Amino acid sequence: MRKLISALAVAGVAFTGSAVAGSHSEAMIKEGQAIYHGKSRGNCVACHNIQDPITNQAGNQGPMIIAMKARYPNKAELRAQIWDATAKNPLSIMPPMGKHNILTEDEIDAVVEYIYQY
Amino acid sequence: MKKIISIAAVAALTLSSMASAQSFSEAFDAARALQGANGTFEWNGKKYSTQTIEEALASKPANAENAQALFDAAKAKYKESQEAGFAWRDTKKYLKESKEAIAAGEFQKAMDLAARAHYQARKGVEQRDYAEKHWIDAVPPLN
Amino acid sequence: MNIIKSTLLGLSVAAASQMAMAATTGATVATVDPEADRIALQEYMKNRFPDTPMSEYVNGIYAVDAASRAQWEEIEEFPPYELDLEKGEELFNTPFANGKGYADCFENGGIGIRQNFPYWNDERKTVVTLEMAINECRMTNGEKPLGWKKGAIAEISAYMAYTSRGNEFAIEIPNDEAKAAYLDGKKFFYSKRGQLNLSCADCHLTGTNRLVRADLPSPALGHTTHFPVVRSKWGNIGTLHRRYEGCHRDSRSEYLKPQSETFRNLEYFQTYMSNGLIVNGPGARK
Repeated sequence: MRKLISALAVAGVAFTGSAVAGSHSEAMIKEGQAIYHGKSRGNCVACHNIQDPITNQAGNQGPMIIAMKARYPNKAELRAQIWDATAKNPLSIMPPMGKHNILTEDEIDAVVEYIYQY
Repeated sequence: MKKIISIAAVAALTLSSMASAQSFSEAFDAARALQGANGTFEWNGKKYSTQTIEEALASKPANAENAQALFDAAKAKYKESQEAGFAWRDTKKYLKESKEAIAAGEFQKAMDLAARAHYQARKGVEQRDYAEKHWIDAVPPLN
Repeated sequence: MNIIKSTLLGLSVAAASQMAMAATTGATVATVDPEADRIALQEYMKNRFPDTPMSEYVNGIYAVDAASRAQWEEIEEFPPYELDLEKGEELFNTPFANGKGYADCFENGGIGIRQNFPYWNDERKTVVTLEMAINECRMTNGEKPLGWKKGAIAEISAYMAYTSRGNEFAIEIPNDEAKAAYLDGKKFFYSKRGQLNLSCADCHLTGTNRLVRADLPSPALGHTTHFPVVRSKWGNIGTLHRRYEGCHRDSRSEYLKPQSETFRNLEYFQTYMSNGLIVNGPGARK
């Protein structure tokens, strides 16, 4: 057990802060867009409308993706909301995209970059 | 083989007893949500990684023993989630693919798949435990 | 002393009832109150959709969304289940090899009885659905059971519903064991499950009449009144449990089989919620 923890801790230290400070490259935004709108991927658009011209048949179960920088001055908080919306509201209909392995951690980072523009 | 099982068992045991004391798992989730898989957080004065137990086990040396141990643990957890009535759609498929990968000598692939199956099954069991306590919160109240 | 005692008793009763007013009815057989649950669900719908009369909830989403209602009314001009009704009637009246028929298995010859299903069978300690009774009738008479989800069983069920149109659902919960089955169904309905962490209530209570892509989930009230249905997505007629299986699968769960005990309990809970509403099956749905 101790061995495991220390190994993990070392691994963790080496990477501190990298997830949030990651690159904002166009490629990442494009990937986020594909996940957001892809029916067999994130399918975020099923519930959240967004003012991207490619949007088709957006749902309204959840709030519109707008003014994200104002709503989430701390980008990591937005990431956390996607990772598990039930942490703040246990009755939320939103699937815990990270906690339940629906998207990978990298995919979540990409979606954050994409929607943070709106 | 024995060593891995015991590490996993101790980790799992410790996790579940911690959860009842409120919240190693809550602290873990909060940190993982903010930072992803490569973060760290402190809990009760100790520093931990945001890597899951399953991810840690899957990063052990890829060999037959380790793959089989992880597969067996995942299969047992899956059964538990099934008996709880909270098994998830893809877990069985991951187990099947993991088994095939072991047979084909693709141990890293087998370990990654078993890790994913184990994580899903573990979350399914947690979902049952949560539902037991909280399903009533969703019922519309009487006015 | 006596006075003090009774006053105290009075106080505690008042306190208890006040608590009950503020909370939901219980999570245990001792505290769950199906009738209060039914009224609370109606109240919820009234608050969400003040313009929709209670009797309209038999029409699913068409009770609350005008646009889809217009499309549906057009479809109902030439009901897509008409052929199924004809086949169902024919099957219902075709004798088994032993000369007996479905009419011999049911009260009133099987006509006009849909509103009494599902019911609690106290000898067997289980909920009996109409489809289950249809298949048991066959087996008792030496016939093979039908598949649960579509085809003949849905057609026979459709015909039996049709002969009951306009009758009010009157599901009874006669004792604590029946109440336990009801509670099990209620708990299933409100519990989040599957990789997507969705309960029935997430989509059909909180999420009803809100878009998931281009789809509007129907309100939970009145769900069971119009089954079996011809669903455009299926392209043919199917039973309630076929739909349950699909819903359960959509939560990304390893889904239960039609007529499993849990699904029967769910149907028991949902149909009790529909008490006072009329049978209007079979139906046509998107």
